[in-house]
Amino acid sequence: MTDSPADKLLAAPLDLDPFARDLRRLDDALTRRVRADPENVERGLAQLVLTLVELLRQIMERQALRRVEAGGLDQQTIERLGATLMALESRMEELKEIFGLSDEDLNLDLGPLGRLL
Amino acid sequence: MIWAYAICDHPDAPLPRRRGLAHAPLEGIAVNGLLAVVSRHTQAPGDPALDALWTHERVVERLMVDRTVLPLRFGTKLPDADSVRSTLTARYDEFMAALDRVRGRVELGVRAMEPPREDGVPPAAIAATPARVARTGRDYLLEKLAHEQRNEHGAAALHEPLSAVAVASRRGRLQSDDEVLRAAYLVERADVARFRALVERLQHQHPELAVLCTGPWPPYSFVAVPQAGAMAGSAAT
Repeated sequence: MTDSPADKLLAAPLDLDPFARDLRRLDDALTRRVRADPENVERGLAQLVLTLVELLRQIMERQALRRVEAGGLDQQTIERLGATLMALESRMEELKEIFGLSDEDLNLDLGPLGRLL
Repeated sequence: MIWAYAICDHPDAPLPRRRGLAHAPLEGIAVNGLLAVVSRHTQAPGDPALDALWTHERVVERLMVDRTVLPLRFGTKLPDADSVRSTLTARYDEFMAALDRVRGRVELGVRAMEPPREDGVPPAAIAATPARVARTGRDYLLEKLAHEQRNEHGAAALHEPLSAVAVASRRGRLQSDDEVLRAAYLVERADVARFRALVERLQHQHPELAVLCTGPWPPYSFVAVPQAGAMAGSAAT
């Protein structure tokens, strides 16, 4: 029987910090509320749009990696794909910075379906 | 409204006196050899605070002490006792088969990450950044690919030996670049110590990874009880 969450650690590294991110994420998911004041509306909209863009970017990137892995792409195509994805990634970084969003903000919890990204 | 904690066997065994959410008493709704353990509420008690999650979890674990359970995800709600009965009836064989699969077994969770180095920079970031300057598109893709393969290699080095000790396993989707493995293993109770020792040995063999093993949990990842549909009105956290 569990009396505290710590009882559930069967084997753990000395430094648990990297894993603690999930707790913060859980905490966010539990406490996040929609804040609809004017200042937040813009950020909320940016968050939603960037979430979708990031989803598409990741899908494209995975697709590109699978194609590179499978072989059969000529060097020119690989270069073009890579350059496009690299540019997209760096543009995303800039936009995230402008709107003060972190990677975590660009993820949606779809409940039983899991996380979007 | 009815909050459901678990479906279990031995409907005749007395329920534990432990209280459910909002201190509501536990109640059993039986259909032949199956029992749904629930509590009744006039309004939804599931404000998903951490202590509510633990209340739900403890009820499921208490039931696990003396019977086999199919744990239901936090937030499984049904309108009334009749809809619980009709769900149990409609999916009787499926639930019975699922109970057989998890009998005498528990779930253990394993996650592995690349810990940040001493200077605090995560290795994934190092792999991703060497010179944003003057990098070609080809290099970018090949670096991504190499990083992915390195992670997959690390994951397999853990996952293969661990699955050999488990009855079943499920790998979850990774949620960040520095995460290497996120998996659940269904393990015979008697093998938990062996599994744990194996995790420790693997951690020792792979100092470049940080490996976390948690449990024993109710077999949440190994009961194919869909949360939507028949168990209508469910809301996950």
